[in-house]
Amino acid sequence: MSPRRLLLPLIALVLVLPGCLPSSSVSEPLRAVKLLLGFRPDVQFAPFYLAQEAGYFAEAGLEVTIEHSADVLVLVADGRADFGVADATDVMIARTSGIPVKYISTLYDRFPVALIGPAGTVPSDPAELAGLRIGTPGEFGSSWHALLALLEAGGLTRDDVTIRAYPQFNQVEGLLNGDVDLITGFRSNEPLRLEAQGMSVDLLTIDEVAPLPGPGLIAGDELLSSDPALATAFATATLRAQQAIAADPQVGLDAAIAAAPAIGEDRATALAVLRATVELWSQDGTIDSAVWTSGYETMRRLGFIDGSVPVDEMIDREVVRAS
Amino acid sequence: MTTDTATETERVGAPAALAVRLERVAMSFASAAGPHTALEGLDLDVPAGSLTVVIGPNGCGKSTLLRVIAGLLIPTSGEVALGEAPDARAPRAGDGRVGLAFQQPRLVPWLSTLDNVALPMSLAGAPLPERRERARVALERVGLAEAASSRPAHLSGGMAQRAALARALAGDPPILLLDEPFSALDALTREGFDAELEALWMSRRRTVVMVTHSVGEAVRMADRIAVMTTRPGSVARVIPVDLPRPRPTALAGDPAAAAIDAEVRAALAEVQTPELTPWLDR
Amino acid sequence: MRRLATTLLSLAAFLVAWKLLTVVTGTPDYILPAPEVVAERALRAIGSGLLWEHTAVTISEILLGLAVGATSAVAVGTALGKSVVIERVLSPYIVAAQSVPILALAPLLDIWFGGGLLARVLICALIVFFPIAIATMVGIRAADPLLREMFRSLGATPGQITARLEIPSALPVLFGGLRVGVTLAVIGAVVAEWAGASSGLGVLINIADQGLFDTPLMFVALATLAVIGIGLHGLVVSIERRVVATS
Repeated sequence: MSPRRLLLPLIALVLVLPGCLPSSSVSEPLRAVKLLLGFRPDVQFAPFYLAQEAGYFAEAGLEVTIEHSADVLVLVADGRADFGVADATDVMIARTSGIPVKYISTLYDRFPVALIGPAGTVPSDPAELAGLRIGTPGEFGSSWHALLALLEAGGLTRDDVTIRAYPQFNQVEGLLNGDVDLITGFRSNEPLRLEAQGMSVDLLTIDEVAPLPGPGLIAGDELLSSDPALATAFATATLRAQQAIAADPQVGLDAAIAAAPAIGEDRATALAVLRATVELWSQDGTIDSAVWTSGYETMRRLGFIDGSVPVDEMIDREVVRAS
Repeated sequence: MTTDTATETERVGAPAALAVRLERVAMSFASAAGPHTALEGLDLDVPAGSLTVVIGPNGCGKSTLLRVIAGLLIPTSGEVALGEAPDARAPRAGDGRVGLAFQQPRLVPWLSTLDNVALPMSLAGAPLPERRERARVALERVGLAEAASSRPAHLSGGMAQRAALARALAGDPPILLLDEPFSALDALTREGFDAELEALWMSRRRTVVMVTHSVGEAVRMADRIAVMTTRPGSVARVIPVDLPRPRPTALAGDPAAAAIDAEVRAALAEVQTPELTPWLDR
Repeated sequence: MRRLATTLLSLAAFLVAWKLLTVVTGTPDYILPAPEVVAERALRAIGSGLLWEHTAVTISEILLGLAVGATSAVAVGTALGKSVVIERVLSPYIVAAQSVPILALAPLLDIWFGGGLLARVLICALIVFFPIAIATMVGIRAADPLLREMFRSLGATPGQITARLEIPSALPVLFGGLRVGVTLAVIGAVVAEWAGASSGLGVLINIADQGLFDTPLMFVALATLAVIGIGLHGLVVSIERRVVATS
């Protein structure tokens, strides 16, 4: 028989065969979900990269697309993205302004922002901040909230210190130049960068002194009322990834580099940052009422919110509870 | 402080006209294609107070010749002198001895006509009221008094050229150089301007050297016609024109004029001009 | 009068279209606020003094930046226009400086110059420099060579030629460059503030957007910047009408 004659039956077989085999993978199509992260890819977002790559999202029935934006809260509220990562204090402000978004799961148990300065010069008592020069991105964000909360705990206001704005988030250079005495920064990030530049640093953290809730997952009101199970699935898969990385940070680093190769340019530092970040993470995603309540009151005293929207409207505890 | 058009305010001791003398003048320019010699071995004597017309084939260097007399170009070799010995001196742009009018009016667009005419005096530092008054007189002389406050853009071609003439005459220079001043105007206007120029010159006899492409205009205007050779230019012949003044506009019927016309054309043919088309040029 | 009427009419049409857009698409105020929401927010911001506090800072940056940038640009542009040698020597550096995005240079400049008003004025001046310098250079060269020869025939000195021929000839092109420069100065001030400032309309945009999630306030800041740009442009045009002869 000539090869030509076999061709048509062969093609037919190839097309039909897969349909006859028993399906080994998930039979339902994955639900498309959009996650918004801030600014640009960073090793601290490793849980999401890992959850997508290792299939935790797929096993939860989700196909997650990650995008980066500076307007996470507003876009998630409007439904243009399904989930986002945001600071709890920003959620408080947004919710008070009527933006329909809720905090659904805690990612960071320890507040990631701290005051950083050269070793030996950083006060442990916030009252001693008086008269110092402090560098911070600007009058927005959790860094600003944390700074003012810290000052308040020391009996000070912003007028008791000199604040220098670094809108490009390059306050590290100001510290290295000696233009400022202290800077606000991410506990697991800036100190490592400074050490790499030859400066040993000390930290002044807020957890004991002026507690505020840390960053977490957010979702819009509409999604939470129409499909809360989706939120639970997403939060659970994220937590799984966090736990996997806590057990073996290398896994997270590899997933992050696979998703964003630029992260791999300095593997050693990226791994160190990831290890330090893991220390700050929440173990189970639950939302701490005590920290939220006292944080809410602090934000109110500082004038960031007016208290017209109660704290319970800002949180959805059911998402994590259902998991 | 009025002046009438017939007599000018005379500078004390300054002659109304100066002679012009060029002796073995050569003018070469450096150019991308090598040295370009515009004039070579040029001799010309222009008696004080005469009206000399320079005519020649395209590219013969007529305009270069005028610029040498004006002091805009320094000859590569040879001598140029304005005036009679022992006062004869080389020309120098802006020293007031030479008035120059170009083929285009070249008026400054953002100045009024009056201020345009006053420009030479303004550059020389004359005070405002004096130079404005002299400019007004100059404008009257060329019949342009009502246009004093207009901008050049609002003047017709003829009016603009009049203004340029007024500017050249405002300082009462003893030498007037004209580079085809009326060739951009239509024939009728041109004839009128030629007549006016002759009248102006007859009322105050400064030395006039005028370049033209038109044989008719040359015969109509000149005391002497200098015919130039092709490049590198020199003076081939000087043809005297002894016709009475003032000359009628239409010289066509006059046999003496016709003879001179023929003589000029013959001289031009000798220096090998295939055709005389005024506007195809350089 | 007719010009004012057309401007008002087109402004009204723009506002109506904007309002229709928000109504038809149903976008919430925190994404795209309707015009009346922005207007109400503007009135509150004006009343509390917030808007003026930031506007004053930005206006001073713009005016100082223009003063420094435009005068240096005219001087350099004149030199470039008059000397082909200078142009050949300087223009690679000038073009290179222009090609490097100012957004990247600004933080460096901010740190080098101490991060205060001086740094921001310099950044603004840098943004304004190029179009005005080039316009001046082109304008100086635009002087009619026929007029130049006429001036020379009258014995004008080089200084007189520059002052009385080259600069007036350059004015139409120069004002064209100034129109562009003036609107760039607004952008320059905002870029400078984003590099390192604690107040100004650019900072207010950041605070409104990133800190307060107050989109109407952000729109108020943007609208204020637009008004400043329009005002400065109109000022240049009216000066141009007086100074440049329509010939």
